[in-house]
Amino acid sequence: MKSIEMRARTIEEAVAAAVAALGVRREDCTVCVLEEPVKGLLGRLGARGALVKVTAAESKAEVGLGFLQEILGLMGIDGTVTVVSGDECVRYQIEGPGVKALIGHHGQTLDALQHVVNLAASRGSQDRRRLVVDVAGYRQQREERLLAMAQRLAERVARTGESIELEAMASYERKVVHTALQDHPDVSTHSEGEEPHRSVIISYRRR
Amino acid sequence: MRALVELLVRSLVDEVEAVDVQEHADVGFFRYEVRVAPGDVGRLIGRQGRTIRAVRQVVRAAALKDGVQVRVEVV
Repeated sequence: MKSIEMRARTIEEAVAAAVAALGVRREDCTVCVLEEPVKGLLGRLGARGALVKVTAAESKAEVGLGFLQEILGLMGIDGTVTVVSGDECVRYQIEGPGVKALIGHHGQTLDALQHVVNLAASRGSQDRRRLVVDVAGYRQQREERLLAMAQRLAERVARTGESIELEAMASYERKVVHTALQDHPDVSTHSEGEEPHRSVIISYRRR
Repeated sequence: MRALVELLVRSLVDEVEAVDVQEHADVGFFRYEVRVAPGDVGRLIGRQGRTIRAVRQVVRAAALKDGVQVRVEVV
């Protein structure tokens, strides 16, 4: 917990300055107004700005990082976690010898880890960003393979006019496929089936 | 391993103090009995069991690394 006191003309200005000084996100802070601004008489005689105390709780990204590091420690895995903080998601990239034990069959362990870290770090946080966990570039490579496969299968559907059902995939992977083909002139995509066996179907679209 | 199960469970529930994890060595595998406050059971299990499945998957990965078999049970 870090906190700072700040004085400015209005409460809003003081809070904004304090948040900037702490270098944190506004939603991770609690504000306590220590002194209300006083207007003062004629010619600002006795005027005084607002004094606030702003306290920053541990951010969602920090909680997630600590949690992942603790898990690595308890599993005896020697890995470093790099945090890339974006507008829509926070990415944790785990690298090091032996980190592949965290991927699992078809990335199952990675998905499990990501699910748990999202739940653990979201409690009580106003930060709505998704946390993405990647190990040794697995997700990134998988995404590139999915894109290539989507294009290849879309061409086949366009050529033969027959629909193709892809293997069952997690929601974010299906999204990669839908997004990749949404502007394709000859095919359309939708998903069928129940989680966790839901899969994308690429079908022919008459022009 | 018990510490890992405990960390995972404690980070998912509201009533952290009520979490209890017991380790039992059975033939061929370690069994972890997890107890949480009644109000936290649903949270630990998750929609369609998704959360407890994720917990088991992470614990299994750790066990695989150590060459042991594990079971995680909510009791």
